[in-house]
Amino acid sequence: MKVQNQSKNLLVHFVMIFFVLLAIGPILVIVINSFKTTDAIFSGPLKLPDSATFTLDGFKRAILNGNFIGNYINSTVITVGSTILTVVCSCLAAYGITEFTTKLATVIAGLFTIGIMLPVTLGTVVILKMMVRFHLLNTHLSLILVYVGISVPLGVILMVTNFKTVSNDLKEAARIDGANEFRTFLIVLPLVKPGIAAVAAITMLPIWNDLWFPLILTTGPKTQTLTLGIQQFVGVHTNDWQALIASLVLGAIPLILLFTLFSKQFIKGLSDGYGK
Amino acid sequence: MSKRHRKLLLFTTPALAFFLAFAVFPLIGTIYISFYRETKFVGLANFKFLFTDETLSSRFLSAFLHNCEFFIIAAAVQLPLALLMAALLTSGRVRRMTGFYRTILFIPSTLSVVIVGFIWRLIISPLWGIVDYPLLGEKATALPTITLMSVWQYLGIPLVFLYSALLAIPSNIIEAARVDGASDFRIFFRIKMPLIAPQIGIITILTFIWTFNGFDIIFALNGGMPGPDFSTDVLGTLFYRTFFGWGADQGDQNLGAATATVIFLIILLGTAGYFATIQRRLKVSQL
Amino acid sequence: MVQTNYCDWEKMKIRKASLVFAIGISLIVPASVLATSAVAATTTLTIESWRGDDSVYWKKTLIPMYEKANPGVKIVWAPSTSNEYDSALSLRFKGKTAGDVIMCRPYGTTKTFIKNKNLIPLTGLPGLTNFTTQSMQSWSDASGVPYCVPSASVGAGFYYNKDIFKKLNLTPPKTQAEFIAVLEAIKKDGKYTPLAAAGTSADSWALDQMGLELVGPYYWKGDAGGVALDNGTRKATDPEYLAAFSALASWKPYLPKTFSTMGYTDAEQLFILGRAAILVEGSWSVKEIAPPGKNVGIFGAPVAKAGDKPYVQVLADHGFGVNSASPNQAAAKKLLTWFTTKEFAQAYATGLPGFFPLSKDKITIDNPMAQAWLNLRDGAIVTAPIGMDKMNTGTPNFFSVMTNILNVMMTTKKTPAEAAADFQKSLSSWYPPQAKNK
Repeated sequence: MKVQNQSKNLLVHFVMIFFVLLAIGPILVIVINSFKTTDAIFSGPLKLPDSATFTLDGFKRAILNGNFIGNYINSTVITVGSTILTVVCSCLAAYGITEFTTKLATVIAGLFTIGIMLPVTLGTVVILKMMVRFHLLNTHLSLILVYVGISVPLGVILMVTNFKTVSNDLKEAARIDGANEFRTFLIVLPLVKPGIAAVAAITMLPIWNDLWFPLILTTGPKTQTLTLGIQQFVGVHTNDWQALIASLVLGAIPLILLFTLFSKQFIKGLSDGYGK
Repeated sequence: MSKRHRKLLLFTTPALAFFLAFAVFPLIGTIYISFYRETKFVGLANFKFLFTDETLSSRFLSAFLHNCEFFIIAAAVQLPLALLMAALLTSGRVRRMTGFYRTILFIPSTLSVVIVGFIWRLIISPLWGIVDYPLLGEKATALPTITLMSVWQYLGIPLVFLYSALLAIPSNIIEAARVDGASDFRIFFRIKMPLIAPQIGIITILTFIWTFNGFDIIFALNGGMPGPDFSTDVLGTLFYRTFFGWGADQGDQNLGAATATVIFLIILLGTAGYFATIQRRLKVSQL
Repeated sequence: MVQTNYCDWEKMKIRKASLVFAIGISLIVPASVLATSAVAATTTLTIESWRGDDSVYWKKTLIPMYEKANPGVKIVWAPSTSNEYDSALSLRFKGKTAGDVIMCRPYGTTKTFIKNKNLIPLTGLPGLTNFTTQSMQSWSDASGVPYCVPSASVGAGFYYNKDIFKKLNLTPPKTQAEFIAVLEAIKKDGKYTPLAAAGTSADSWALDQMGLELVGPYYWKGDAGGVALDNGTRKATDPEYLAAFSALASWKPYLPKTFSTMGYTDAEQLFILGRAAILVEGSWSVKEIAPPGKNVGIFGAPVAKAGDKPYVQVLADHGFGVNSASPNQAAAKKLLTWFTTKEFAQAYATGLPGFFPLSKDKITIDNPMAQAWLNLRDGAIVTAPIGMDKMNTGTPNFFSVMTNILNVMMTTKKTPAEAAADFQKSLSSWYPPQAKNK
């Protein structure tokens, strides 16, 4: 029985490792090549850089190219701003829905549930018209407003499942102590921290990587995001493979780091809210 | 009662305001302006043009078929693979490595389509990569290839979702089955899967919505007039090209709105149809 | 009391969090507003363009040149990607966020902007007399009023690797028969790709501008062939156009097997690495393809009959106009006048070899490869690409239809006759003067 178990375990490990290699292999190849000279990239794409072929030139040129740092800042401002606003709005709304259970609350929750599945990009023509009318074209604000609007449905629903786990006793005790609703809300907030982490992660990911709205709503380098900037860099007829690959790697690092370091919290937030 | 309502609205207004203003209103507004040309009301004229103009209507039909192809391949490949990996991760056979595997498997989902497209295009390039056949350049293989790239990228999301769902299954049920002598396969197919069937259903319909709304990876690889010979053109790129323009093609906001409205109807019908039939049957009694 | 302690500690944390949040929001909103409001102590002129590739030269040389002579003016070079340029510019015109100085595409798309009054007429602009009416044609309205100052023209031709040619004992071909013979010889040798070109659908513009429009003019007799199609007096399936399609299709056996995934940069890279013997290209690529030290030569489109005069394509590639909604029109016009001067033309030609200023001034070309491109015009009939004007003002248009058909013809088993027929069928369905030639 034990031997059979061992071999089954090994088999599962093999399968998982195969998938892991499939998932990370291509990425590693690119990362390796970002540290090599152009000739080394073409002559031996799978070789590790040695002392002769190792270079940081690609990174240097990628950062100094046009608008890289500006793009980075833009992406950060837009992503962080949208995420903070989404988290705040989602927590407030979820607390309200779980606390003041009325038929209206059910309707609102249903609205957000449908909202998760709404193909928002189809409304772009009107979003564009709105931004033109209010002179918000080419501003960070225009993207933040749209992203928050898109992200709150999922945020609310996720937080609702998390808030549902908060026992009424704590809320009652706070109320007896004389706290008003908002204070009670603030007291309850730390208990749903995993949920907040999950909402933040789930909101941040598609916003940082989004191509569509920056393509439509940012018309210049002033507000261009990192993802769009890299796409345009790749699209320009350039022969600077080093800078190209380096900029891809630099663009990928923030989110990879974020999700690797905080993967536990992210999963916990999803399953906590989930299981109940 | 009114006090409760007032408090409810107080807490939900911020979220509702953003959602209604920037997600709901634009969609409704799009349907509205699809009946206009500039400021003149023209009824169904835009739709008529969309379905009768030689070039546009044939492009629309082929784009629609391409979306169907995209969805079928994605659902047939991504879902079973995600399920397999989630099952293996929760089988209890990987113990300490679970977190490691799960994290690594999710990393492709953190990348942007630009990176994913570039990496895979390089790998399968006959010139610089390891594949001999021009997969992205031949009409027959271009779209399936891009679909598989997308599957590779987004596998992590249903994986995480199904993983959480499987974890949520109360362990006493599994234990009871084990004690009864059930094998791993039996436990998975007879017990676990039926219990997460609603979640599988949700992933399927979300995949449907995402693939019919898909744009990013095709645009990143092939631009706004995705070839070869429009074989990777999907409704998303058609919509972009129609309302925004591409190359020398001019954009037309009203025609674009009409295109968006039709796409919305397609997604709506698909989703409604799905919920009316399958999802209802998948609703297993909760424990 | 336990609860009081809890409340106190929580209160502190919450206050801190709310403070951070409030600060954050109060920073983000004004920051994004500030970032978009113009802080103009001096006049700032923004130039819209699709030549991101030339950014370094503009920012390091051309712009400082003007700013030094004109203190109080700051110039911002703001390029967009080529494929998105026209639609993004159209959107910016609508949203009144377009720059002050606009780089003008040749013919069709600019005519639309002229019609929509997005550009101001430039009659009387000092320096405009420095250009021939012909060179300003693609940027004038129906009555000949100019809207853009022409800046540079480009050409198309074939680069060849002199070392490979020497090794295989080949000389640059003049006739179609010689061309095929050269390609055959390279193919037989087996070590090099005979001909490199852009085969992906995303780069299909190359098969038109540096393909059909390169070898075609000889068969349809230059500008006359374009006018005939524009007027509907000839159709695309007529023998002279069919011959052009066939001349292009004759390249097929000599292109790499995996041509359909070879992009524009891939083709260039193949030639640069010495793996391809011939590269079909535009003249703007001098810096990349033929930097000093590279043993590279150029030859033009082959003729069918020995002794015939060859045709050479010269495309007035871009010009500069002024946004009619710009608040700095006087300053913009002054910049445009500078664009008409010999100083600008000379600097442009020197720093961006392969672009040839259209002004009447005599400028010195010191780059031998750029000179080689110019020499192609000797003893040849100069012609402009066809289909870019009247057939390019709607949707669909010549550009989107032709580029796709050419790409299909070159990457599949489609014959030139079928390609010509497909094009004529499409053309007659959306281009009124050709409607009778179904």
